[in-house]
Amino acid sequence: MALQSTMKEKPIGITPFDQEWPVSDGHMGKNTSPFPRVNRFINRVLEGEFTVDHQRASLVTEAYQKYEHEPQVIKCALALANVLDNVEINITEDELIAGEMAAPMKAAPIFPEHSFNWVMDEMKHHPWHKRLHDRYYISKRSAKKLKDIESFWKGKSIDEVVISEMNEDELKGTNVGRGFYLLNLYMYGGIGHLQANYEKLFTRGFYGLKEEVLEKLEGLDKNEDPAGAKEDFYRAELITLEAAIRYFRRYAALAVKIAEKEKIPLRKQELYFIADNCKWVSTNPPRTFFEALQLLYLATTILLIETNGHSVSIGRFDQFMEPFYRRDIESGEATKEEIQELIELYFIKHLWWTKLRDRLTVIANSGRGMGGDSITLGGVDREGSDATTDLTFMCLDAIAHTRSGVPWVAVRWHEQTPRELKVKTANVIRIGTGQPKVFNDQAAIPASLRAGRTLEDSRNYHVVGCVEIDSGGKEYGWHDAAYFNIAKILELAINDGRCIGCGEHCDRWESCGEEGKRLGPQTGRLAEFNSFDRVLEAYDRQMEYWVDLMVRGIEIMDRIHQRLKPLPYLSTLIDDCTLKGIDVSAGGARYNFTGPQAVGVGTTADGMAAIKQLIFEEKKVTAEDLLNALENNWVGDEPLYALVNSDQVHHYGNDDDYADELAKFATDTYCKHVENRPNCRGGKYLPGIYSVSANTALGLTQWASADGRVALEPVSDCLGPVHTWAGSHDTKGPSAITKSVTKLDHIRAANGTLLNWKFSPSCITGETGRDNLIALIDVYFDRKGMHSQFNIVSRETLENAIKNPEEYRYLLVRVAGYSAFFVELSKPLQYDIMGRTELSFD
Amino acid sequence: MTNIQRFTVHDGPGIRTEVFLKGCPLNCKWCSNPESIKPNPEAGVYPDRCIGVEKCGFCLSACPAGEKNFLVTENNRVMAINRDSYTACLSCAKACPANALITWGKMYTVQEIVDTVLEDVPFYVKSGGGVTLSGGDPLVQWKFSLAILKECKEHDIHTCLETEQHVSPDILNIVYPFVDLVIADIKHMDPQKHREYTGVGNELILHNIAETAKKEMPLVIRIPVIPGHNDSR
Ligand code: SF4
Ligand code: SF4
Repeated sequence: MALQSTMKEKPIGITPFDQEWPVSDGHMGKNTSPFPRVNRFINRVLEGEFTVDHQRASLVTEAYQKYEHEPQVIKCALALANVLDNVEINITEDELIAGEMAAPMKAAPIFPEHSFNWVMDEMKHHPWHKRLHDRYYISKRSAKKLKDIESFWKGKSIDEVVISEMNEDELKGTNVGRGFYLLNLYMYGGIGHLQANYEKLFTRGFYGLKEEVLEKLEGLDKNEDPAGAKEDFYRAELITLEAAIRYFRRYAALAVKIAEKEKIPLRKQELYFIADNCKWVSTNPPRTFFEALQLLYLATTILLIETNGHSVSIGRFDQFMEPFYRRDIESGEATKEEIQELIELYFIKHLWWTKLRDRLTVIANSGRGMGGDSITLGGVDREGSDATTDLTFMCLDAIAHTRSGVPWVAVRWHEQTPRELKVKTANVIRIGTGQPKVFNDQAAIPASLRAGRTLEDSRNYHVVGCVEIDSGGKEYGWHDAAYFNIAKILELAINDGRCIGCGEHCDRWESCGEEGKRLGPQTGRLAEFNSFDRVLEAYDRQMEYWVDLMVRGIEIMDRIHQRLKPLPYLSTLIDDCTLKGIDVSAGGARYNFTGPQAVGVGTTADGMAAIKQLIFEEKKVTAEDLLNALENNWVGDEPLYALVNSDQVHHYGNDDDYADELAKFATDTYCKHVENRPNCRGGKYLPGIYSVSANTALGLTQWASADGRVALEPVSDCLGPVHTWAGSHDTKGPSAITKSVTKLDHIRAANGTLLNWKFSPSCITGETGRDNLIALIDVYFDRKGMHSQFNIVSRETLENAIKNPEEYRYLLVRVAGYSAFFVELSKPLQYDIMGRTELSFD
Repeated sequence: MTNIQRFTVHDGPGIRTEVFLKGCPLNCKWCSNPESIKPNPEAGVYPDRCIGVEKCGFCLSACPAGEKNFLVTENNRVMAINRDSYTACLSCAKACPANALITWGKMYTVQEIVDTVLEDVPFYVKSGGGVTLSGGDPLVQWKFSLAILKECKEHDIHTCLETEQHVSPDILNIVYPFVDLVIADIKHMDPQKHREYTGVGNELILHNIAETAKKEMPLVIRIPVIPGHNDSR
C-alpha cells in the first residue's frame, strides 16, 4: 500500500486542504454539499419516519421451521438464503448504489434468533411510537406477522438460553441483576465489531470465494472430519455465497425493470448502470470505483442481515478503494468530482440501516442508526510509511458536506502525518458534528503488538465501532463484551462486599431476600481499616472476584452464540475460517479476542482520593461519617458533599499525581485481572477503558459515591474527569487533563481508550484556534494517549436545543464513540453531555 | 500573587500559561479583577456556592472575632465580608467546605511559579506558546517578575509581558532583555480623561510605549472599549 512512491503529487481532496467551514455550524446541516443530488438525497432520508419491519423475522422463522432437523450451521445458512431470496427489495429516487438491510430504508429488521421477548413485550405494552426518543412506527400487518411467530421462539432465542444457563452468582452483578456490569449487548444481540476482508473480496469476487470453499470441500479428508462438522460448515458457506450472488442479481433485475418504465433519459441510463454494476459484481471482482462501492455496500449489508451485530465496520476505505480511484482517474473512467459525489451518496446510504434497541438500552445507547459502521482514514501503511491518499481528504470533505453522523470516521495520526491532513482534520472537527475522531498510531500500534498481532497487521489496524483497535478481515474480537463499573467495586470494597444504599428501590430487593445480603466477598468495612492500603487491598480482592464472575458469564454467552448462531456468510469473509474449516463464531478467525471495558475511572479515583485524604491523612472525617453520608445520599451532610466536590480534595484530571496515581491504580487493577485470560475461541481477553454512554446506565444502578456523586447520577465518562451535579472536578484546563489522562497506561488497555473533549466554539475559532487544537492533540499523542473525540458546542446551544427541539433537529453531537442527533437522545444522556466540562481557555 | 492559569490562548501567541500578579498602579473604574489591586491575600466571597449557614456555618464558628464576625449573611447565606473592620486572617476561607469563601492571592515563590510553567512545555513547543505575565500589573512587583522571566528564559520559554507601562523607564530597561513580546493597554489617549477614569495620567504610559517601540521590542497595543468611558469619538 505504499502509494506515495507512484504518486508524485501530494494527496489532496476536492477542496483546498485548509478549506474552512464555520465553526460550530454542525446544526445547520442543510444543503451543505456542493452536489444537489446529495442534498436532495439527505433531506429525503432525514425526513422519513423510522419503522419496524417483520419480513426478516418471518422469513427466518419459516426456514427454521422447514429445516428444523438440519445441522445448526446449515439451518442458519438456509435462513439467510430464504431472506435474501424473498424479501421485498427497492431502489429509490436518486440512488446510485443499491441495497437494503432486508427491510426498506430506515426500517428495522427483527432478529428473533437473538432475542424476541422484549420485542413482543414492548410492541404490546410499550409501543415504540410512544417513546420519548428513539421512536419507531409499525404497521398493523407487520405487528400481526410478528405476533404469529412469537410462540415458535419461546425458549429458543439466545437471551433466554443464556439467562437459563447462568447461575445466581453469575447473574447477580449483570444487567439482569444489580447492574454493575452490563452484558446486555451480546445477551440480546449479535456480536458484530468486525471488518470483512474487502481486499480479498475485491480480488476474488464472490466466484473466487466460492471456488476456495469448493476446493476445501473436495479436499476434505473424512478421517479428519468424522462427525461431518467441517463438511456441514463448507456446505453452509456455499449456500450463503450462492444466495448472496442471487441477491445481487435480484437488484440488477429490479433496476432493469424500473429503467424500462423510466421516462427521464438520464435516470434511465443511471438505472442501467446500477443493473450492470450489480450483475457484474455478483460474481466478479470489481473493475471501477463505482462497481467496488456497490459491492462494498451490498456485501456489508448482507453481513448485517446475517449477524445482527452493530459496529460492523468498513475499515481503511482510503487504502482498499485507492487502486480503483487511481485507475479510474488515470483512464478517464471518472472525474474526481464524480467520485466525490459517489462517496457522499455512499456515506448517506449508511442511513438506510437502523437497529431497534430495547427501551432500557436506549436510555444509555440512544440513537437509531446501525451504530459503529466505522471508516478509518490515514495512518501508516503495512510498511510503516505514511498512507495518506486523495481519498483520505475526499472522505473528510464528504463528512463536511453530508453531516449526517454516518459513517463513523476515525483519522489515524502518526509522527509523519502531513500537516495538510492535520489541518483538514481540525477543520472538519471544528464544524462541530463530533466527526471525525482522532487515533494515535504511536499508542495503537504498540497496544496491538502487545495484544499479539503481527507488526504488519498492527500497522494495518482499523477502528471498529467506537473505540476498538482491530485487524480488519482477520479478527473476531468480541470488542464490546461488557461494560464494568469499577466505581461499584470501590463501593463494595469499603462496605464489606455489600451495596451501599440497599433498599426496596433496588430491582434485586426480592432476590436478595429483602435484607441486603452480601453480594461480594467479605473484605471488611472502611471503619475497620487502619490504613488506606487496606482500601486498596479490598478493592483488588473485590475486583478479582467480580472479574471472575464477569468472565464466566461472557464465556457462557460465547459458547451459546457458537452453538445457536454460526455465521457461515461472515466466515467466508474473515481469514482463516475457510482455511481451517471452522466457523468465525467458534474460533475460525486468525485473531480471537474478548474485550470488556472498565467504566468510572474518574469516579473511582476521586472517591479513593477523598477517602485517603480526608479520613486517613487529614482525619477531617471519620469512616463511619462518610459511610453514613453515602447511605443517606448526602442528605444532612451538605458540608461534606460540598467539600468532596471542591478543589480542596485531590481530583483526577488536574495534573495532580495524588489523584492521578489512584486513577492509575484503579485501572491497572482492572487490567491486571482481565488481561491474558483465555477465551473459548482460542484467543484471550483484552481490557479496554471507556464507557461510550454506559456510564449513564451504570450510574442509574449505583447509590451515592465518595467522589461526591449523588445516587443514580452517571458515573464519570470514558477517561474523563468527574463532573457531578455539584460541579466539575477538573479546574486546570486542557493541558492538565491531557497530562492526567496520559499517566494511565493506554497501551495496556489494548481494547481501546477514549477521552471526550468538549470545547466552546469561541476558543477554537480562527487559524490560531485551529493550530492550538492541533497542538493539543499532538501533545496528547506524544504522551501516548490513544484516542480523542471532540464536541464543539456551547452549553447555551444545548440548553436551547432541550427547550426547542424542533429548531435543533439537525444538531449533531458527540456522545462517545459516536455522533447522534442531540434532540433524539434520552434526557439523562442529554444532561450528561451538557455537564461535561466545557473548556473555554480564557 | 493571585492566580496561575494554564492553557490560555488570548494573551500572546500559541498555548500559554498565564501568571496573574497582584498589585496595579491604576484604579480603573471598570476593572474586572478588583481583588488583584491590593497586593496581599484576601478572602473572596462567592455567595452562589454557599450551602447555607444553618446547614454549615463553619465560617462563622471559625472567625476569631466570634459573635462580631465580619461575615455579612442574608437569607441564610454568606453574601459578603465587611471589609472595613476585617483583618484578613483568612480563617473563614480555610473553614469553608464549598469554596464560597476562598483565599484570593495565594503566595507563591518564584520557583513554584516556574515549576507550574514548566509543566506545559510540550504545549508551548507544539503551538509556539509560552508564558505570559499579567496582572494587575506584573511590574508592580517587578523584581519578582524579573526573577520569573529570567528563569523562563533559562528554559528557553517564550515570554510575554502584559503591562500598563505606568512604571519608571529604568525598570523597563532592566526587564526587557528577558521579554519576547510586550502587550500594552492604552485606556484613553486624553490625559485628563485617563486621570478621571484610572486615577493617573497617561503621560508616562505613552512615553514608555514610544520608548518600547523604538527598542524594536515586539509590541501589541490593545485598547479596551469600555462603554461610556472611551467608546465616543
Ligand atoms: S444488596 Fe440490596 S442494593 Fe444490593 S443488590 Fe441486593 S437488594 Fe439490591
Ligand atoms: S463555611 Fe462556606 S458554605 Fe459554610 S456557611 Fe460559611 S460561606 Fe457558607
